[in-house]
Amino acid sequence: MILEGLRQFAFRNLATGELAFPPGVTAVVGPNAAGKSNLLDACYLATTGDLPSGTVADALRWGEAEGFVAADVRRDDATQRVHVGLAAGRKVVRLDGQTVRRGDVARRFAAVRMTPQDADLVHGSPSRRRGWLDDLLDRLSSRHAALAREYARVLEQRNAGLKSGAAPDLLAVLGERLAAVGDEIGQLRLRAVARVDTVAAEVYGDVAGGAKRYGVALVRAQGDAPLAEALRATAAEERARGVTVVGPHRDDLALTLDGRAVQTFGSRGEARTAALALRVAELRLLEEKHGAAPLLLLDDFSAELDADRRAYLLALSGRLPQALVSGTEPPPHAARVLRIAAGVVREDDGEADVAGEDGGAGG
Amino acid sequence: MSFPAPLATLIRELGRLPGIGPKSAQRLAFHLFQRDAADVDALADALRAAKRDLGRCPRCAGVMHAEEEACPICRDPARETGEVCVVEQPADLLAIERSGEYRGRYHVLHGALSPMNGVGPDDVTIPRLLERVANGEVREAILATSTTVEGEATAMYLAKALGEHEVPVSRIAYGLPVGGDLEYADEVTLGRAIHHRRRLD
Repeated sequence: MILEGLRQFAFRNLATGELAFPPGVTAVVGPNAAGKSNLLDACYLATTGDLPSGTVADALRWGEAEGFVAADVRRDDATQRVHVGLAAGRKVVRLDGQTVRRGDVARRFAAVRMTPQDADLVHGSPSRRRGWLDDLLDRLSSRHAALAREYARVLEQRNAGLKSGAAPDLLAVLGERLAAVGDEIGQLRLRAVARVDTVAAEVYGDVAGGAKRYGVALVRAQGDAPLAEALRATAAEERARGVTVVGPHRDDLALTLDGRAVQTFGSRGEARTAALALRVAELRLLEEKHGAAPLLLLDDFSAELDADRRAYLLALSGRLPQALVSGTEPPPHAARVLRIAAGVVREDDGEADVAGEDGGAGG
Repeated sequence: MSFPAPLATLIRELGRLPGIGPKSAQRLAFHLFQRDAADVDALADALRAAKRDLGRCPRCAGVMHAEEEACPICRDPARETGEVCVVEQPADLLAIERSGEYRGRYHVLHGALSPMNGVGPDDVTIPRLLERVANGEVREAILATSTTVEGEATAMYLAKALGEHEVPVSRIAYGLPVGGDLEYADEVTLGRAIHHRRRLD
């Protein structure tokens, strides 16, 4: 998958304009707060329909009511236009002019974003890891996306029913549905996590030299029991607390080195490598689904000071069909360098003004 | 500047209608202000008459003329098939009638079960449906609630409740829109259609 071009209007601090991206490694270089991450986020949004951080309102330039990001993306020798309109707190995703669901773009194209904040995957709350896994599964399987939507809604209804003391028969029906959908989600998660475990262990070994075995496992609140059974076992607690206490919404990922939790026992460096391995697993699973590698968006590469991880990331971005690498300095293998300052992007030679304030405001 | 009180009241009342936001309410209010008094009276009369002359059918809870004893479908002896199609809203009943495929009677729930919205079995016409079952009016129930989480939960709830009365229950089929291209069907619908496929014989 290749991102051929990007147009943006009123997206964060980026100047309105149009950029073309060649295959290979493109460096995005500039001082702090110049808009490097914003450019990478725009690329992510335009290839997945998903804002990697913040709200739609925050994604708009100060004072603007609406904006958009559009990309020409090539896959299997066909180029399609993704257009993500941002207005009134909402995203409208269009593919070749047709309004589609976000997931239709996210499952058609693929991008993986790596940032220094990925350490949150290890240190953050279970919901952070669950969110990562769910987002990956949504992109791998439309079935999962539909199940996750249904699960969330049934759970909301069931919790409201538990709180308000709804009719027992109605709670039973909602519980049955929750169990059926939840167990299907559980199966999809277990399958994906098994594959993530294999890839992440391999990546960890490649980066750190293989002294320790990195493990990724799904920890299910329900244990090995089917969800219906777990719901029966926790019925008293549910009634007391007025919420559903078992199910996929309470799962977590256990990240371990030689069986010990990275979160608690790992060093800062081990945690970073563990997070990196999850991102590479994400990339690999998407690659396996699509039969082609996703676009890699490597944000703030200069912040990566560890020699082993630097070497790994350079090799990885170099072998992929396309990668955008941002930092205060260009990486050595960049085929092309874009300089960004105050949201305006220029080719490194300083001549071509590729994103002037007057360009491409239409559409 | 604030609107004169009669206008503000009109805008507020219009804005309480479903699907009408503040802007639309304002546009409608100004439109009514421009119309002839006779037109506005006709509209007001229609609103009052609708409220006064419409009622719920005592059997199926569908919409009927208040002076009648039952709705036309419940009064039609030809539709005494023992089949009862359960729908959420009167509009759903009309949609099924338009299909021309169904010759039985109906039961209108006036809602779907939703603890979030405080709607339990007694807040819709489920007790009335169970009465009809007890009276022997229902020999087969066809559940035609919508395919939302709430519609599905309602269907599952009814399947259980009716099953206790040993009434055969069926759910309308999920599947592809007729005359549509397969490639344009959304993935969830297509998945359902494959899951609920039927053998040709």
